[in-house]
Amino acid sequence: MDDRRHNHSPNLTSTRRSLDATTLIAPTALDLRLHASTFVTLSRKYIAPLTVVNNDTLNQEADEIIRYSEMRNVTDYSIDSSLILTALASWILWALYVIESRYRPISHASGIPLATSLSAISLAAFVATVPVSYLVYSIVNRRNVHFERSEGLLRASIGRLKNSTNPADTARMFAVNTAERDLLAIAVEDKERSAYVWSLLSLVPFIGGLFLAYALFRVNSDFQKHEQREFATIEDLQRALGLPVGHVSVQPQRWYPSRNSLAYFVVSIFTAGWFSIYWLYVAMHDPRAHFEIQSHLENELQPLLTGLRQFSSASIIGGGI
Amino acid sequence: MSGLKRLFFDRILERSYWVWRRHPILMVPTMLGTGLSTIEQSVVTMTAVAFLNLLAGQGLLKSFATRIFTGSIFGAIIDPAIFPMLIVLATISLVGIALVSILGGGFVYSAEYGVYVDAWQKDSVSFNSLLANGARRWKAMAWTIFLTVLVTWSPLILVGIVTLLVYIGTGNLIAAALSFLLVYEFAIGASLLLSLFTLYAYPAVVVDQISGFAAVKHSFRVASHNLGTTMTYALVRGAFQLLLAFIVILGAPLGLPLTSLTTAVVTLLLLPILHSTKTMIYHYARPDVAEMEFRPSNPIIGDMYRRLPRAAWRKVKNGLFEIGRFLVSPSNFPFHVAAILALAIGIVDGNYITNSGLGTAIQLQPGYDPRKGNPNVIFPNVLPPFLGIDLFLHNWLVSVGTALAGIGFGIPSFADILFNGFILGIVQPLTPSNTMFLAAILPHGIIEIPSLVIAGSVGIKLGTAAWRAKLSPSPESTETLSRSLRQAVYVVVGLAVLFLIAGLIEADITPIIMRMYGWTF
Repeated sequence: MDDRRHNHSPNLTSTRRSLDATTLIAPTALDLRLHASTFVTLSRKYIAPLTVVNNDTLNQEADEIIRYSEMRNVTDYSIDSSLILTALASWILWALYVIESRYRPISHASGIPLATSLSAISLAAFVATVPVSYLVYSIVNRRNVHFERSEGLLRASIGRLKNSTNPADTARMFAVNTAERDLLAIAVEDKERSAYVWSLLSLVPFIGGLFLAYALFRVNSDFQKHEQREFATIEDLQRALGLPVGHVSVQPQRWYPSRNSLAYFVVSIFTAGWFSIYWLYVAMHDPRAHFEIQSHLENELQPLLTGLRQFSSASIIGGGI
Repeated sequence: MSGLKRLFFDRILERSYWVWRRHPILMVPTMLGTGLSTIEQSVVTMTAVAFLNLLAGQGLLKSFATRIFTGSIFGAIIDPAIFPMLIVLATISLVGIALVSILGGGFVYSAEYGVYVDAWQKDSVSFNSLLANGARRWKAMAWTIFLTVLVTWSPLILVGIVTLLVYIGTGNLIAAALSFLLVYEFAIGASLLLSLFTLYAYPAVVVDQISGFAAVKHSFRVASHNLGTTMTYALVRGAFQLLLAFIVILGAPLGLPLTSLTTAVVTLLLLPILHSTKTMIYHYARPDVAEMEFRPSNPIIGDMYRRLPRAAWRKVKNGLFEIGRFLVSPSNFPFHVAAILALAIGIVDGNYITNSGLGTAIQLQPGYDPRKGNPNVIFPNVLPPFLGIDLFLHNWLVSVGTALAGIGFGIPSFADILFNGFILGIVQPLTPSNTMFLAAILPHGIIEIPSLVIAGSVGIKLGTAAWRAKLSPSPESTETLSRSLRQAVYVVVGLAVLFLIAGLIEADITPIIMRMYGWTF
């Protein structure tokens, strides 16, 4: 895979390239992008609220590429930061449970039986853990649906490109085939991690913290690998569309923050879950930049790809680009 | 894509939820499952009633009950005058339960898994198709249930056989018990492991139209080829059960009885959704079925606390109208009479049992106070609104079982009402006066008892329709059975309101009235 990349663009040092082709894009494509941006802005304003109410309307969109692009309003969601307070409350209440079971300050002070005070604290702690479990669900589920949408969009895009490419156009066919191979790697590697399982496991008192840390560890490393592979495939698509693939200012960056998730995991265990709260907080916001840059790229590609359907028989797009 | 096919557990689970929301009929098979449990319980309760009547008839009841209450249970059981009778009745009871759980289970599970497949593929699913699914594959399903249970629990059965052989060989009971204790944990572990692989045997009967060993074999194949998804399913299933149990345990010391609430959640929500998920995992694991397409799901949590309660309330309102129609229709009067008769027979028989020695045995107990009520039902042992809700859900689930057990040709519904009357009949002579008895029963019983009788009546009607469909099968008799089942389901759904009122009265008002008439707690 690396050999191929070096053959095509020897100046590039990483697989995350051409993430923002705005400065290099062809004039025709730029015009189309403007329309697409307008459409996306409008869709976010007017369509997104509808999709939140009922995604069935979204699922009925005929053009797969448009459908998958629009789905990002639903899949690439942000998570309310205030939910982190419940993680704090949960941690404090479970700590109180340990203190009460060991030193009995509440039952001694109030005169109520230890079993009652422990039940009351653990019930309150459990109730506080439910939103934490929802948080874990949201983080893992966002990973799943984002990966699935990206894969669907890439598959639809590659299919469209493949159908519109003249088999005699070897350079373009090579790029399409490479993209297809990359996509297969994505499909094999980006396995679903059940958001329900991880959220339920994180509800388990005390050891739930371990499951929470492990879920965050997996999400973090999965996203990093995903970003690498996904942007490589997008690059192949750009190449197949005849868009220039080159060095721009955003390329050297990692959009998904690089965290030493193993160290985070270990620290979380040694701090009895306290560090997990911080990790949970950053995990809520980590994919934001990745989502933004991906939506930017999709906005560029979508008009070109949807245009292929209309003009493929006359080979206008291929020739134009 | 290049032959790559994946199973997405979360996708299937979420789609299962929405299928369940679109087709509330998916709750009916698990309600029928409750009915099946009621039939099994009826076998036990009717055997117990018969046993007590036989003892009363032979004048042995007082001595038997006295021995039981004084703690010499073993002595009471091995009494030569009682033991043979007890063995015969226990054998009848065990055989009855086994037959009901396998044959009845065949019908219920066939209907259940068949209706899941229909619900995923069709826009609407009728009661008719539910019954058709049950009737079509019940034998295949019953055979599969038997083999699945046999295969799953074979390690434990083997350990039992070995223990028996050790006992026969050595004649040493302690050695046999020790050998059992040594290995039974491993046997249970092996059985649990096997249960993971026999998970898909029931869906296989419906999806692949196979049965017996073939279904078990297919289940093993699908589970081993999709071990990750199967483990995920098992984890989710186990985690839900454990969490609900945990909530019940936490609530108990705080006076929050939550057992019935969790039972209702499991019966009506979790089981249909999880079983539907299991069926669809099996379906999508088939080589000829394409990978499930990605479609973002609508938010489930928002739906659960906004739209679901409204949808449930609409069904309850329909149920209340259905109760009205069912009660006033002259063609239903014979069923009402039959249900009232069952209650009356139960009361009379209960009275007879108490007056034949059971009452005396109870009254001879040290510290027995006929004026003392159950202290566990009053504050601060329980918090009033929670007790009311718990009582409501418990009684409502009993009525669901009573009504839908009627599909076993009406007899279980009759038996269930009779047993409830029997309990009333036993208690009545034990109370110091009829006024005190009425003070304890009437405030909530005036709603609760007629509600239970209505459930029994609709169950007997369902049983009559089942008889007709069995004895003279025709499209008309099948249609009648389908309509009766629909009516039974709507009637019990409507009864929820009545049981809620009765439950709240029983928890909050009845103890006050009881105190006014001389009861202590």
